[in-house]
Amino acid sequence: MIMTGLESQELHGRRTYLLAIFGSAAVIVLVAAIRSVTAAQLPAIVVAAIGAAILDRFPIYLNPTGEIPLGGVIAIPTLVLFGWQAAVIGGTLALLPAFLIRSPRNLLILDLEGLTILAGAAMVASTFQIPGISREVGAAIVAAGAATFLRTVFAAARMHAEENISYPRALRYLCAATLFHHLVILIVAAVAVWTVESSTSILDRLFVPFLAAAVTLQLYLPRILRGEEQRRVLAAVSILAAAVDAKDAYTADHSASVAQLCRRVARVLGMNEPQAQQVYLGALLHDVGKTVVPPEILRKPASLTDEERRVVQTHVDAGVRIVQSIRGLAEAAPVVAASHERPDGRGYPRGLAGEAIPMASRIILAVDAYDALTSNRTYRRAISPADAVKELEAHAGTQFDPRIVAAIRDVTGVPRAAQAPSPARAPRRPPAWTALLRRPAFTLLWVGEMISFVGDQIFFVALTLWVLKLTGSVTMVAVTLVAATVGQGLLGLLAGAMVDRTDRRGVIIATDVGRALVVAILPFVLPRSLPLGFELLVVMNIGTVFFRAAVFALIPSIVPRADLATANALFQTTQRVAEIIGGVLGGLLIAAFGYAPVFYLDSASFAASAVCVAMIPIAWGAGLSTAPARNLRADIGEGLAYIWHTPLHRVMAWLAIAGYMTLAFDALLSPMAIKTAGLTAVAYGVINSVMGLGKMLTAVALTGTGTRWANVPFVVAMFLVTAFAVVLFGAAPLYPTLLAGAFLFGVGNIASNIANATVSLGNVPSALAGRLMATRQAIIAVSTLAGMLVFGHLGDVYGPPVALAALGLTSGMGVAAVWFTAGRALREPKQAPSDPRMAIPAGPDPAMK
Amino acid sequence: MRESFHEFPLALQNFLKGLCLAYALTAAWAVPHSNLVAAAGLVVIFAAAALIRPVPNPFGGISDPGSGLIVAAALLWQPQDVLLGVGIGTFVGQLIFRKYELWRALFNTAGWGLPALLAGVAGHKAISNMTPGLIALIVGAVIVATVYRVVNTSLFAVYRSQRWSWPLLPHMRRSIFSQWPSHLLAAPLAVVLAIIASRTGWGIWSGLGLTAVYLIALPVARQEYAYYHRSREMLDETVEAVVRALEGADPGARTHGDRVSELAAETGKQLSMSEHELLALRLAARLHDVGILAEIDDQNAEEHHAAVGGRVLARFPEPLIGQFVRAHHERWDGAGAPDGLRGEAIPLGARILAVAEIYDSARAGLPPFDAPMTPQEAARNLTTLQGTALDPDVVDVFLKVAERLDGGQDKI
Repeated sequence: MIMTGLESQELHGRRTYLLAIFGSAAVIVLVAAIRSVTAAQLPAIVVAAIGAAILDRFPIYLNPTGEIPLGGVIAIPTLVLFGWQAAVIGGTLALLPAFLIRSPRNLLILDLEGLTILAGAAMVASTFQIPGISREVGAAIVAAGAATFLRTVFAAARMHAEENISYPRALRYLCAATLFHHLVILIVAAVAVWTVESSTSILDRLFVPFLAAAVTLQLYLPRILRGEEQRRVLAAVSILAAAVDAKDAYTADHSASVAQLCRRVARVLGMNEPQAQQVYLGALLHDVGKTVVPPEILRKPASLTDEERRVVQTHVDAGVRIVQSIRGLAEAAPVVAASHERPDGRGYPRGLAGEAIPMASRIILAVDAYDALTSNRTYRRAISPADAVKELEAHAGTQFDPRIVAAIRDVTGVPRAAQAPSPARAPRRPPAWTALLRRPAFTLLWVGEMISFVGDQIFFVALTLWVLKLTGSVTMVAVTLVAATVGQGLLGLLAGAMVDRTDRRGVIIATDVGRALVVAILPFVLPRSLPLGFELLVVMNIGTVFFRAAVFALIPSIVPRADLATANALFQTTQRVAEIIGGVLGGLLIAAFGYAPVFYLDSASFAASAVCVAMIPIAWGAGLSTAPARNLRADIGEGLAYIWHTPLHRVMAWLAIAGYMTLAFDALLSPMAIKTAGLTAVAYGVINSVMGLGKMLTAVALTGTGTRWANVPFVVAMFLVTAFAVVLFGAAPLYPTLLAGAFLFGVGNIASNIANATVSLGNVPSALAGRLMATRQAIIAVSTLAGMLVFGHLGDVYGPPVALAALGLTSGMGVAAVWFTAGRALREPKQAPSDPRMAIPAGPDPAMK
Repeated sequence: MRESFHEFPLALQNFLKGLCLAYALTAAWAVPHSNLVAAAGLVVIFAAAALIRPVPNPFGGISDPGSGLIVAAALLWQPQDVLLGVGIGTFVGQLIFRKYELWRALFNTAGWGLPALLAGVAGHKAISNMTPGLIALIVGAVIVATVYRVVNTSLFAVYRSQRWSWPLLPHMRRSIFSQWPSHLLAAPLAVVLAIIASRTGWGIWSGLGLTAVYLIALPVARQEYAYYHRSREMLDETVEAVVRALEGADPGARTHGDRVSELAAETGKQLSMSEHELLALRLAARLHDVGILAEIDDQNAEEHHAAVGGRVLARFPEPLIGQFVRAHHERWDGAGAPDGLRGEAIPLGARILAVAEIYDSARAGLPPFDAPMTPQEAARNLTTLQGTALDPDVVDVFLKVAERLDGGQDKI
């Protein structure tokens, strides 16, 4: 569905992601079709191409916005009678003339999407059959039904992305507006197929798509014509608005941008589509009366005299007269009449107050002010959206309706300022994590992460087992794991800098889709060429690195600062649960279905994650720095410099170096458990499970206990706990102490992780969040690696227990030393002042692998 | 407005009488040969169809929604049944529901019934000569729709030419060929109904039911046409509001735009532009100076007002409008602005617009002319520019149009 009316430039960016998704799907479908097409399908391809090319020019108009493309009327009969290859190739050929006529911008997405829908419909139609009806008619009904479902789901996603309508609302609107027409198309397609059910004549069959198209055109011609006329009207109205903008050089395209923003605000406020369209029209026309005001007054840089102000105020009535002269716009007249009234009654021309002013007018007043603040004027320069929202908030309740100001903040993606909890409400506050999950943006990210993480766990089990089965070599398994994780340390810094300069949500979606594709083709590649499989794994891992960095950087735009720690803990909880469940589930799935389906499942989990993230209701590009882009090295340098020049982050970095050294215990524990303590493999497995249990319980506990613990002393304490656990391993290598140490290590490790991430990320500008996390990841990797090298060697010389004890002691002493030297700087000035522009990130922790 | 039959010219009276007589005689022949139950059913259906008011057809003229129904009936039923059903049903329906004068109802009876008969005969003959199947029905439906429209339109063209003394043949030719898309679009649903009828073989009652189903679709289409016309009015009024804004900035712009629009559209018609192009030309002519609004201040002086206008008008779904306005200050010899296009590279609409604009500015004494000129002076002015600033062919056609529309009497 193409949105009619004016479209802003910012849509380009969003469209790029849609294009990437549908483009890759369409290319796969098209290649498959071309490879399997037969000569007998050629006439049908010609018919489908011609028919679709004609019908493409006649979309069904939807009131007030949007249209339904009619291509399905041709495609469904072609699909059923001549095979899906004919429909897909014919549909693609039909794009060629369309490119010559219309602008390719909208078309490309619509048509690539159309091809994807077609392929989906063909798949469903070949799988399900309706009993009691002939195969072909049944297939037509099923295919049309599936196409309707897919089109609605996709179109709602596009509406959501392009117009900032929440996904459920977009879905509701689309169902109400389009289901009837889709039903008509379904019936027409089914009846058209039914007409040749018993005929074997190819010629008869070739006419079926044309018959379906002709019937649809006959039914819809009046509506199509009306749609074209409506589009002309909308253009004329916007030209009327442009006439005003042209008169005042400083407001060029002011009406258009105000109108668009008004429509989005109206939607956020829960207005339905026709109402939102009224607001849009009213906003376009609200200043139309200015055509009667002499331009020298409009452009006067100094403040106006009373007389001049009176003249300016007459423009409202003049505008109302103009709007009333257009019968179809009469409903907009009261909106225009009141568009300069203020809720406190101090507006003009009538001095209406409060609810007496139509909602639409109140929206226009506030959005108009916002747009004026954020654009250059003769008498002052533009201010940033965040400052403009702050300015509006300062006048909320007097000049502007507070609800509308809140809606403008949502729509423009300005993060909420931290709210002081009101004492009256404090005792009744529900647990923080339930409040978080009630926040759709967070829930979507969380669900997407969780799905993708479970998929990942299953994937790793399947991958290692399959490679073992294919090669029979433990070394190859190790190589596989290296290939699948090698990017983490190498690319982390680069990824951090990259996600700080691109739309984070876009990066998440793109890497999800990319990984979904890679995982989907792995079952095909792995048995044929192991090296190619490894290369794909590396590619996928690069995607994962960027994905993680982007998730970190996105969270500040989603989670309020106060809930940061809870969010972080919640992510850890789900990951730990997913680790346990995923491993078991992976084994069961492989036993039941074999290897390949598990890979497909993981691919689907990535796709699901992409969908969840795409649905997150925040502005695109949220949290990005508006400063001009510099070179990457400077960006990375800035991230590093930030860490070393800020006292808090410097302390956290030193703590990380000392504390995360204990992660090297992994290399020493298994030799010690089996050789020194003489334990069986099963017992070693139990130790690992107990450690997992400790991690999980801690994460759950921290999720439920709010944010009290998210501070530097807690981080220090937890690092000391892990160090103590490692010392315990080395000092008393017995089964019970190993169990206790494992549990303690799990507790300390996860708690220090969450707290460390929370504190670090709670005090960083959002534009730097990605780089900060990447730098932190690099520090952890370096520290762990160094620990393994040094203490591994120590273990070879003096035995694992000594090495473990030394590792624990070194780490613990290091942490203590940092705390008593560098940490002193933190304890004297109480806390860094919290800047509202500071990021509020939290998230799954990269240190936990 | 009720009109009296006796005030018509005698030839028209005789034509109508003859037509009704022809219908009566054919009907008298048809009654014994037809299935009276089916015919009676069709009478009821067509009488009910009169409940649906005719609407202006977007492609020109008035369209009675019932004509699609007639094509369906002619394909579904025997020709003699259709003759009786369409004729009598229309007569009864128009008298009762539309309160038409007797002569008008009778004329519609014959003017719809007879073509329906001929169309049915031609269609069924074609179908019976082909192997049964989808193609036979499609061909049959196209023949039915074509024959019905040609005969029906010709009869009404005769009526109109006699009534308003229009030349018969040009009017007939135009009314037959101008509306072909909506003519042929009467057929597809009829084909589907015919297939359903032939494949199920349900007999008369289900056939009548199917025909009635078609009837139900009509009010919906009519409603959409009503919306269409409302949108069209809204477009006019919005353009009018823009023009009024222009008038505020540049007094005289409004009447200037209206006259340029009239002259340009007529010239375009003579140069056989399509309806689509004419629509764009009219809008472009009315709004061609919209760029002036931006030129009040010298801010945008570096951008030619035609370019500004073209940019603003590019918001219309028809790209032609913006193109016409952008190029209306181009010169035939390539020395114009803003793009320096030359000759045929300038869109035809823009060339017409340039001629009409200069002519009307001269007649009204708008800049760059100091004082209003007479039509003859303005025409002479155009001929001096012919071949240098203006397309010589367009000027030739335009001068004839201007002589007709603006000749002699001084309108300004």
